[in-house]
Amino acid sequence: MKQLHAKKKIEIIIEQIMADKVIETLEKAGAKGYSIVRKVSGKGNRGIRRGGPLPDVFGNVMIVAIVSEPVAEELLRVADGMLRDTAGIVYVSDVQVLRADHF
Amino acid sequence: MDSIFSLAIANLLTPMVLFFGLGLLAGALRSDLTLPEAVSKGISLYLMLAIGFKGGAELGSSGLTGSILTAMFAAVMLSFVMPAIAFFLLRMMTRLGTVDRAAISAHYGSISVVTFVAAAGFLTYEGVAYGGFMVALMALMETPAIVSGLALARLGHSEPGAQKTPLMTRKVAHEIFLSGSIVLLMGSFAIGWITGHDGMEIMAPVIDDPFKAVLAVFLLDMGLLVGRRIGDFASVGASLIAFGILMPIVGAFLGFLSALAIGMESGDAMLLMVLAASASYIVVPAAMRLSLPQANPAIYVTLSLAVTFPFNLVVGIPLYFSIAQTFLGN
Repeated sequence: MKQLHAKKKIEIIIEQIMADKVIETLEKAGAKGYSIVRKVSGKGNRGIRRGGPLPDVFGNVMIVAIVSEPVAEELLRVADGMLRDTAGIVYVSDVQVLRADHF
Repeated sequence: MDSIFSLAIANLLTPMVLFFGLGLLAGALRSDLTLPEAVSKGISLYLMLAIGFKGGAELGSSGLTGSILTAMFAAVMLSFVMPAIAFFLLRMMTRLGTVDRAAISAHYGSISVVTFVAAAGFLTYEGVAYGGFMVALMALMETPAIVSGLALARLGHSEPGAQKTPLMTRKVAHEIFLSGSIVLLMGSFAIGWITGHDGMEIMAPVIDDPFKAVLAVFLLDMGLLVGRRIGDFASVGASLIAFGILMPIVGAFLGFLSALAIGMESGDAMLLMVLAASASYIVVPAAMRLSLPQANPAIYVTLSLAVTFPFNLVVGIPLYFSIAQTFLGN
């Protein structure tokens, strides 16, 4: 099997309106890239959240980034403060990537 | 004088209001009827373009007069002052905290474009003219209330050392002034102003003739949106619902006094009442979510979208119309 490299995958589900701020934070922390899944709906401790065309304050997005462990730790530290007043879920998992220099 | 009752019935029996009712019913019953999101977005852009262009073209032919500038000033003042009144009323009527009250107040000082468009449609239906500059008034009234609302929110953070909510950040300003609807509305207004009557002749087949029918389709969609939120009433509570009905009446009254003071004609006066009575549910929620994340969006969106918007659409528009007609009509 080809050589794989251990990285952290951080997934952030957050209100759409906060997406720009999260991305800014991600880049500042050193993430080299990210993916965004828009129009994420579901249920959490703020009840069912499902966005509509108007007003878009009830919609969520999911931001996925694969980063090195120190970057993940830095992100978790910042995220803790950001999540106080917004709907959001943050979790980290271990992943194996093919090209270590891309993340 | 046409009785308010017969006007209300006439308003209820327009396709616009009936389609809104259909949407409301279908939404409340959880029908799977939906307009594709791209279609409803497209329709709302069409309405902005049409109302902006018509207003601009008309202002181009009538010209900018002193009384229009006075009206603009009055509109800005209304938007600045109304949040303070709403904030006070909420304190009397509810137990909400400062931040929630401030966030709701900002919505009530600002305006709802859709309510304005529906009111303009109603005036056309009744054959009463209104000035193109009213569109400019609408755009002017959107923002001052946001600044007032954020200033009111600061009252809750008066303890020393607490971090103050900035009155306007770049991100919020960007969200407000460069929101797609404002750009299209003001851009079309400018194009209408520049091209005037000739421009209107080119655009009329698309933006004038089908306008009311498209508005009816849009209101079907709005009805669906409101209908699906009706379940949220329970979470808002009776005293807030009472506020959501009282505040537009207070706003309309202030609008009426302003119109009287500056000598507006009945059509313009009715639209100013509608602007003062309506509450924002697109631009201000986004601005409040960014600036006052501690405020609960479920409260302010439900109030302005599910209480005040339908109230204005069904009861308010004919009511304000008949008041304006009675006191300022010929």
